[in-house]
Amino acid sequence: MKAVLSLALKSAWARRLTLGIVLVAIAIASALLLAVERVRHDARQSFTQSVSGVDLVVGARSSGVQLMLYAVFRSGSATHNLRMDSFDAIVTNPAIDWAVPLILGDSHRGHPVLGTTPAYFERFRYADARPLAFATGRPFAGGIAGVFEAVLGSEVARTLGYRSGDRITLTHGMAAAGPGHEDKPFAIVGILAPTGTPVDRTVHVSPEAITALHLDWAGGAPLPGLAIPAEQVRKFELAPQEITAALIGLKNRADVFRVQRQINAYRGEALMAVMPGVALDELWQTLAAIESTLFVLSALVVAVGLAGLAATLLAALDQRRRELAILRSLGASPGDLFFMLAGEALLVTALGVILGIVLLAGASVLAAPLAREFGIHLSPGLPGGNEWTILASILATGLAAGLIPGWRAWRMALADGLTPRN
Amino acid sequence: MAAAITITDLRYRWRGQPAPCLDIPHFAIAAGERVFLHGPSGSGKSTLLGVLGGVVLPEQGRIELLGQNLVALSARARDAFRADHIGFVFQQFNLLPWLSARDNVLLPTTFSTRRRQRSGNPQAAAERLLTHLDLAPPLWRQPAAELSVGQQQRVAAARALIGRPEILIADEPTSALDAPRQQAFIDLLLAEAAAAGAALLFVSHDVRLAAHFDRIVALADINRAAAEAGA
Amino acid sequence: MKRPLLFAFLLSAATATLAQHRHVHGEGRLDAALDQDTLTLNLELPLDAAVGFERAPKNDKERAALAAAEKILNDPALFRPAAAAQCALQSVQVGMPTFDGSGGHADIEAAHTFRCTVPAALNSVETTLFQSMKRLYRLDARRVGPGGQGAQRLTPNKPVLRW
Repeated sequence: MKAVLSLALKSAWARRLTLGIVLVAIAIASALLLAVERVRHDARQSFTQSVSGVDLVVGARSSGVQLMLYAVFRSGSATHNLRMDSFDAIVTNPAIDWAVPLILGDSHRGHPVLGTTPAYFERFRYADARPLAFATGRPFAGGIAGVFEAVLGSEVARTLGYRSGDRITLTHGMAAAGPGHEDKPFAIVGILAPTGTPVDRTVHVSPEAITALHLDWAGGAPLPGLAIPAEQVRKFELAPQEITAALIGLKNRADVFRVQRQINAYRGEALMAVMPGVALDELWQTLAAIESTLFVLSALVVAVGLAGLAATLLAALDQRRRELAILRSLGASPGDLFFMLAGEALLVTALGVILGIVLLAGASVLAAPLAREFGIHLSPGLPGGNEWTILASILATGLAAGLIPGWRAWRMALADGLTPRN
Repeated sequence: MAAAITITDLRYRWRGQPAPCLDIPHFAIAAGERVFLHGPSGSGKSTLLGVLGGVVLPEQGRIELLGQNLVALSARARDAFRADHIGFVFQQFNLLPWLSARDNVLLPTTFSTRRRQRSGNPQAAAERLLTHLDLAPPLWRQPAAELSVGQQQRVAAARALIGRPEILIADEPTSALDAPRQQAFIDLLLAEAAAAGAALLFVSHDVRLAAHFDRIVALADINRAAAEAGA
Repeated sequence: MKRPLLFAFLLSAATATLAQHRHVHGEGRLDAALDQDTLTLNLELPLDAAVGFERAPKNDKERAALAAAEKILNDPALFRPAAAAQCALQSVQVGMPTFDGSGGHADIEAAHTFRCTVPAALNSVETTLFQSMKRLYRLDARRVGPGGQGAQRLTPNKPVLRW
């Protein structure tokens, strides 16, 4: 068998150009298929793991999608806020265990600023109920004491090179070049560990800080002639009058349907409560069509690559008829020839797949920053889960593509090699 | 010693043909005997070689090679028998173009244990044969496709000879060579067959090449089908 | 400016899915909650899916259809929790429409409550509803349990809610 293997390798080497092209085609096809699968998987991960342990997200009545967008993904903005007294009224519901207000609207160099209470860091959960952890520092102090303290998500700190103790200023609105709050700098007191969720991109401050920033503002612009210095703000009432949304945890998760109905029926203001887990699943269901279309497309690309392999092997088989017949006449068994051809197909497919993995690894390193812009955390490294199944099926198909010429070689008349053809 | 080849009552008919193209009551080649078989194109020479190689099965008759009836063997056993005991040289050289000259010569020893054992050290045997056949060592490592026609034919001869098979069959091996080289090649083949103690069946349409053989046979003389067709 | 553009795109494409409390003929809703050992299944169907009309019955045939629908929803075997969870039905409540003349739509509701000996083993609930109500082609199911929340779409081909 070793001799046959060596012959097979030499024969393949003699046809290295053609096989090389096929190999590259298979590599690109498998890389593409793997990429689609990985983006799909990672997008879903990033998506569904972005929040957990929160039973309801409450906001002013609009679309649930919008509410999820700004409250969880920090994207877009709320058209309406809800009044603080509504929030206070809701949380009197005995079924509610905890509630954390969210105030959005400001930014820091393109990163969203979230005004929230220190309870947020205790209550928020992502992935499999994992709590937030501090890489360095501590949460900002509650109330007046921590009014100019900020906690950064890991990515904010990493991309902007911040450390605990640095001072930053915020910008009004989401535009990077919007009107500033330069007169009121914040001290970074803590940096969160990476979560792979929108939390990483967020700058966290207290609700009081948001009020303080806007004391001398009205209607989205600084009031002319009025400037309240940072050291003066503590004299003012800083408890927020309005919030953007609220996260709610229940004492008993099973009460969620009832509490949701109660909040939706709140009479003081038009509110809506969304079950985040349900919302994410439902959204993903609508995306499933896009998802499977992508998968089918790349599966087709693989099919084309493998059909190319089979076609190449079959075309080569005609040229190799003589070669195989010579081997037969010299004592090679049909099994040997079958092994040579099927082995070649398997080898080319395997090398193609390996090259595809390498290509993908390279590409995902290059594309990771881009994907992060889209909120997807591409996991580099070895294939996992579904991807092995995909790789195995590519290999199996490659082998099958080699079986056809292998079978033909088996059946090929020995006479080919022993009778000269002119 | 037993005869190398004994054919008895052989009849072979191409599928769909009413008359047989081969009808040989008896034909034998002794061990070590060198026989020149000639006949015009289309007289059934290649078919006869196919029968002797076990590639085509006759509808009737005994084909004994070294005392073994080929017809009685299974396909697999025939394959093995052929690889073990017969060396072929063809009109077209049937070398693997991407394989070096020496590796081409070594091919029979990779598939036949018997040929490997009989060659002693296959590498050395291949190099000795190539040297005998006037191929200089620098050529040994060259891919067969890069050799000249004459060189390729000598590589093919060396491949047929390695592992000292008892029977050598050559089918128009000189037709691609020019006249002076034809005789030189035949002389080489004869000498090597003699050195290996192999019976040689040399088939050609060109009787002028027959000078140095032990025996010259016209296919028409042993093949009744040809005689009838001619009559 | 850094923004999760993909989500913005994808989510806006999916806006319709979160519309609250739709009434679409042929589509029902199922809320499943597992609380300690208590499994509550709340079903809400457009009356049309159950009987083919959404108004007070006009004749005996329609009255019979309503009675049949009520019987289906009262069926103790309407939901089949995973056997390993060893759930026993505790109560069934069915709310039939009152036809008080308000609005053109009518819903029909059912609440089945189970008590499960091994709630940790509850990984699925199958419904036979699609077999008995041919006009129903979809149930938008929401579920909560110790593992969190989720949504799933049940259809005649996939009548099993999974955790």
